[in-house]
Amino acid sequence: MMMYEILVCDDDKDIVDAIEIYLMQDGYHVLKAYDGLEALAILKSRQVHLLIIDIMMPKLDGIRATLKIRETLSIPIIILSAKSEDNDKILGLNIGADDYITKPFNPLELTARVKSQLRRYTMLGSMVEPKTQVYQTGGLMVDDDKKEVTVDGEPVKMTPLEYNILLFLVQNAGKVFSINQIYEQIWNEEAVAADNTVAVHIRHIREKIEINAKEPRYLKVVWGIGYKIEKLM
Amino acid sequence: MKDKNRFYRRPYKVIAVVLHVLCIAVLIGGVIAGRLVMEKGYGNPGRILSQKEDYENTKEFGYRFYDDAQSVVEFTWMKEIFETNGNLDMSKPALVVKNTDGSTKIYSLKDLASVTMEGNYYPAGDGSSYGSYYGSAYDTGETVVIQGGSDYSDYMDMLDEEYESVLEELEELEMQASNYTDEEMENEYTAMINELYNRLKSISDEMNEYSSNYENTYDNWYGYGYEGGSWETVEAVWFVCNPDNPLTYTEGNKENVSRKASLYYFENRTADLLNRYNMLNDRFMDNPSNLEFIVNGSLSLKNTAHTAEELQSTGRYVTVTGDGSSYRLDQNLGKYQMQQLVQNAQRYHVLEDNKGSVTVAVNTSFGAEDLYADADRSIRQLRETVKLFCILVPIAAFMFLLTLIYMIRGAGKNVKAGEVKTNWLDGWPLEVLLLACAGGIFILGLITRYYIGNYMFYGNYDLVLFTDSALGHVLAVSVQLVLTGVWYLLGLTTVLSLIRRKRKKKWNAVILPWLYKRAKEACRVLSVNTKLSTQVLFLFLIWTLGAAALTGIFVAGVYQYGFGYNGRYLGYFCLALLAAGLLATAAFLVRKAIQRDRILEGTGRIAKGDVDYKLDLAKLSGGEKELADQINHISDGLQTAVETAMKSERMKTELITNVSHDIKTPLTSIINYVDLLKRENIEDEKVGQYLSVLEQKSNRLKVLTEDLVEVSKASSGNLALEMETLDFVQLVTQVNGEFAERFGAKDLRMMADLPNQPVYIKADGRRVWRILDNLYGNVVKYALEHTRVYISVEPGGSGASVSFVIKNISATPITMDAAELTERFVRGDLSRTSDGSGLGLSIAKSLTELQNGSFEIYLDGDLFRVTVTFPAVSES
Repeated sequence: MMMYEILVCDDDKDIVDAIEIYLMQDGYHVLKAYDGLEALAILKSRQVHLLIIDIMMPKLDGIRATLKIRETLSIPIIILSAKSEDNDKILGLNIGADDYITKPFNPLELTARVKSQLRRYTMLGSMVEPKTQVYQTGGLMVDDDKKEVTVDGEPVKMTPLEYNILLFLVQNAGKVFSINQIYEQIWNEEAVAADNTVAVHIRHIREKIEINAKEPRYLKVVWGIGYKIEKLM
Repeated sequence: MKDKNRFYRRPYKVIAVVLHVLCIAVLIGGVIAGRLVMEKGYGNPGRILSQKEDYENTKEFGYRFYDDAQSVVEFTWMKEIFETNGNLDMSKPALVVKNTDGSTKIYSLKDLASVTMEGNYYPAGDGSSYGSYYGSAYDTGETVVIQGGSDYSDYMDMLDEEYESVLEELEELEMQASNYTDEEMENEYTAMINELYNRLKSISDEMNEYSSNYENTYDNWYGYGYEGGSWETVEAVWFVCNPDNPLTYTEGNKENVSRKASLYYFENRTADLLNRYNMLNDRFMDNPSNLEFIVNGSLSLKNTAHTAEELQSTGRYVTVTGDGSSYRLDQNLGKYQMQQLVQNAQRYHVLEDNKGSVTVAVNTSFGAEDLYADADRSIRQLRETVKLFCILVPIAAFMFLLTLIYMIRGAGKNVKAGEVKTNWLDGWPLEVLLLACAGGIFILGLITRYYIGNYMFYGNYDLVLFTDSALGHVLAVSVQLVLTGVWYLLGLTTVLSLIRRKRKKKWNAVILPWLYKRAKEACRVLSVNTKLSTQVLFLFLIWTLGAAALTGIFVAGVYQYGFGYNGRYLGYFCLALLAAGLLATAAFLVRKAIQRDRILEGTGRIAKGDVDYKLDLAKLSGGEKELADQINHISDGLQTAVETAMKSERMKTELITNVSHDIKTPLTSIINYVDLLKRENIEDEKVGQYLSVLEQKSNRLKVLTEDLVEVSKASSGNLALEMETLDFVQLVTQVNGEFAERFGAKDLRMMADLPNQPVYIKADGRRVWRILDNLYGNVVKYALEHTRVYISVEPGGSGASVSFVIKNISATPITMDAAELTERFVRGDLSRTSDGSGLGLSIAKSLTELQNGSFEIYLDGDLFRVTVTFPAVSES
């Protein structure tokens, strides 16, 4: 198995060391940097497969560094920051980061995201020919021929109902459907009194395919309106 | 470049001044000449210029001729009265006085009049000076009675007596009549009474008429008593006084009426007549005269050797005959005048019994040196003068203007450009100069008004002391000319001095600037320091009083008699002042109003939000300026306050964000290393316990930090809400789905009662989720296991709102009330050991209220109920 090189950049040494331990436990090789300039230097000299970068750093902050990096590299970048406002997240993702984790973070979540990003990155390289019945959004792939659901290559077990709901939503990725619409679609009956069956199922699906069900990447709740699968690249 | 000022050198200036004065002289002369021409009855200057306008064609000639014709008749009579054998005889009797006792006294001419050194006649008495004017009779009060007859008062008394007696009779009759009631008697009495009444009336009528007639003939000449009588009657005296003369005269049918006159009157009359006789004698008999006459009636006189026919061919003539026919060659004499001539001649007993004739003619060749020739000559001269002036006046007017402009432009200029040359007059203080000018003009005005003005307006020649000839007039007005010229020059020099001072900017004013400053200061102080109400009241009072006074003066001056021209001028002047005051007040008020509007506009803009706007102080004044200044200060303060508030808001948010960020960073390390420690799988149980405590607490810190940011944002309203139209029912369903497992883990049964139809609200979906997440989370944390949780969505307020209600049984007793629970950092669990920061309900409440909803907690024993209400909207 390939040894992935992950660059961790944060001005807080303790955090960098902690992350290093986590990642090493998962079998990654960790490179360390403490400001944006250092990170850029390392990126120029070594091949790095993934970058974890903080925003608030001296000399060159994470945002500017990301912009600079994205001029030349397309490696996955995960922003790790204590700035947790929506604006901050939006900014980070817009300028080219692939993921945004807020501090304090769950170490398991961090490693899961790292894995997910790497898989996607490598999969991109060895892209499977798109089959007609395969629906993909981001790292989520629903293969209707095989009736398989994979997230970043990893298969996920789903109940038939869950699969149907997911398929329906993935087929119409980006569109919001109300509970009643989903109900009618899946059960082929008119929705009776609003019960929370659909909601419960959605919750289950989320917990299965998402790294953090509270912060879903794919299956999003549009409160008061319905649910949707995000259309991602 | 040529010197611009070379035209203003001294020699040129001198020439200009001289020219200017000459022009003025010519102008004034021209004006006067013209006026003279018109006034003298020569006609307008245009007619004068035509060759046809000879003296004999002028109105003046006509008047004089007529006058002289009358005089001829009069003179004829006078010669008869005063002369003996062709010479003046002063011893001839003039007045006979009949006294009541029957005696008579005869006064001769000499007794009545005396000759002065100059050859004029004056009333007798002293006779040597004007003092004798009041005569001897004035002092003695001697009266004379002319012709017999009763007194005026005797007559009136007589009438009065008659009146009284008739009245008495009448009263008696009436008394008698009242005693008798017999009808027949009554009629008789009535007739008698009526008759008496008529008599009374006729008597009183007679009295009225007599007294009015009497008064009409009252003559107040020279102010002493001449009661009753007329000229005719006096002349009748002459006839009475010449008893040998068969000519008698009676005055109408008033023979019984007496005439009273003081001797003094006769003295005066005699003197006048003698003087007149003298003058006419001079003119017609002794000196060469162009006027020749032949009187051929009861009295005869002539001063020429020619015959009447010959006279009629020499020029202008008039002939009247006793039988009333007349003919003349003078278009100036009309029918009326002819009649008057005849009457006069008859009156003077020159023509009587319709016999005789009077011929008066003027030789229009004006060979003799008399008044006619004089007048003729002067009119020729005048004609020449007028012709001259007609050419000169326009030229003079033009030159006048030219030199005036030159002088004004050149005031103070000399050789060097830009330099203003001043003379000794400019060194005087300004006030002195103005006063001198005003004073000079005023004095001259007085002189002009009273002397020349009198002459101009009233033709009062006496004051001018010249003879009554055309040339004399021209000479006379040259005085006026000079005076007016002086007046004008005074003004001109003053004006030029003012111009020079202005140019040099050296006014030399001593008092005026000081006064002006004080006045301005006072105005400014008044206008700034007093309230507007005081100012307006003060102004109103002054205006009312002033207007009343001015109006009074105006009305009195113009409409009341007795003030004359002065009164009128003053009146009009006051009217002008009134108008000026009105305008000034109007201007003041309008100005204040405009300023107030400006201020209003400005404050409007500030109120609308343009906090930076400053009112323009330059356009305001007085109290308004201060007002605007204060408003500007307020708006400054406002701006500062707004900025401060905004700044503090920003700082607050920044503070919280920064602080939370700074807390989160070390917190991350704590959590990470605790986790790492856990992964070391340390065998020691105690270590494991400690680690789990560390983990729990650090997680709590994490939650607390996040909640802290959220609650600060929620309570300060710094949240950016994305309001959408949501289906509340669906939302609750979704939340129910999210919590299904967790509820299940504590065996909490979800009892959901939701409507079948969607109920829409306008809210931020994520925030509503946060509220419900919080509430449901609380249920998970604090509800008693194995109990039911009731959830419902209820439309309320007849469709205007919708409420979400969640009820559960609390695991531990709640010891505080609802209000306290929503306070920040208050936790149901007073020991604060369990999870949660204590901010949850506070955040939920703030979020609800931010979205126009209401949040209510109800506690009853262990029942915990929360109601969240939002306004409902229709689906759109």
